[in-house]
Amino acid sequence: MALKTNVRFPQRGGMPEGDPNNSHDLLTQEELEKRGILLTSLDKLFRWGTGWSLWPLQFGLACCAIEMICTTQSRFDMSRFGYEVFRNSPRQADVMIVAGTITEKMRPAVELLYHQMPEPKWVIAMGSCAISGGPFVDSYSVVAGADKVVPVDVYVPGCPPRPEALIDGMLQLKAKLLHPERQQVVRDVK
Amino acid sequence: MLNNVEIAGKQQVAAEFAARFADKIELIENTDSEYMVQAEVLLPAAEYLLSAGYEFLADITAVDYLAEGKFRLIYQVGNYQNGDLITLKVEISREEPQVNSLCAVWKAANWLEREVYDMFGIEFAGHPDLRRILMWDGFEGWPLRKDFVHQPTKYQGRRRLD
Ligand code: SF4
Repeated sequence: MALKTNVRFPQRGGMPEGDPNNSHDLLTQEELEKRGILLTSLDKLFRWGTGWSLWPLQFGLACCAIEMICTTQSRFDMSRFGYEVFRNSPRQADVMIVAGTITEKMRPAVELLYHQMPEPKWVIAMGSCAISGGPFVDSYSVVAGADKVVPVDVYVPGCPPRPEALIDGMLQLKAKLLHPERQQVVRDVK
Repeated sequence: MLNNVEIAGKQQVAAEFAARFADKIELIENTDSEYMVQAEVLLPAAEYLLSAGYEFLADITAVDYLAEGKFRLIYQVGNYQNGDLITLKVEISREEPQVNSLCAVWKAANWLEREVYDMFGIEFAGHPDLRRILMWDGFEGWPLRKDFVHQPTKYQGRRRLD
């Protein structure tokens, strides 16, 4: 089916007929989009597709994992957004949801799982344990946050976060994917 | 409420303990089945309990009484036949924390004793495989002792946002 649009492209041999001020070859991308023409780069298209079908890695570390499980079930239903394909193998996953407390003994395993995931990959730190060690930060066995071990993209606060908060975290990650230019927040933690 | 079968079980154990370990085992005040056991009769007492139908070792744990210079070990043993639960308590000195292993009596003691060893550093003589179970290899110290001071690893410790 032919694309119906009002835009007339410059003819060979000069400007098209009509309003001489309407120089079509100078239209911005937004103006073109308003007229039904979509211009994009392949990269952008890929990021758009990825953002709508992130595959999380299926693993949980503590109580937050229960909330992550709830998020995928019918009441909250993360599959509405395309994120329900939890993968058992890190080789097939592109988001690691650190749902729970990382202990010193578990840390090498989390690190290994992260390195086993193929690029591109993202990490969501879910709950105060994954953000900063949570209520157990002074304990002898707890790592003070996932970002001590792996680079974290989105922090979801709460103890545990509500399922809606995790969904919001996933949507924030999608926004980050679609608009890389908005990655302004720089966090320098000693 | 205890039923008659449980009470009968408790009375039988109390009578046997009184007969065999007269001054080594005594009932703790205001309890009906908690016994303070001298460390040297722990093993024979455990063997008797097993033969009397107390097959289920529910838990082993310990308490650190730093001021008094002793550890108190707590054993909880259950009987599936009459539903009774009995507690044995053993006090050992903090300087020489050693006690007989009960692995030969109850197999469940294996991992429970390893956990107590891991957390308190109490040695269990005769344990087949006494090494840490929860903490990672290379960890130093006994975390549940009251005088334990934690040295954070480079992944630990509160962070400062200023
Ligand atoms: S943040 Fe709270 S709910 Fe989540 S793992 Fe830690 S303690 Fe559990």
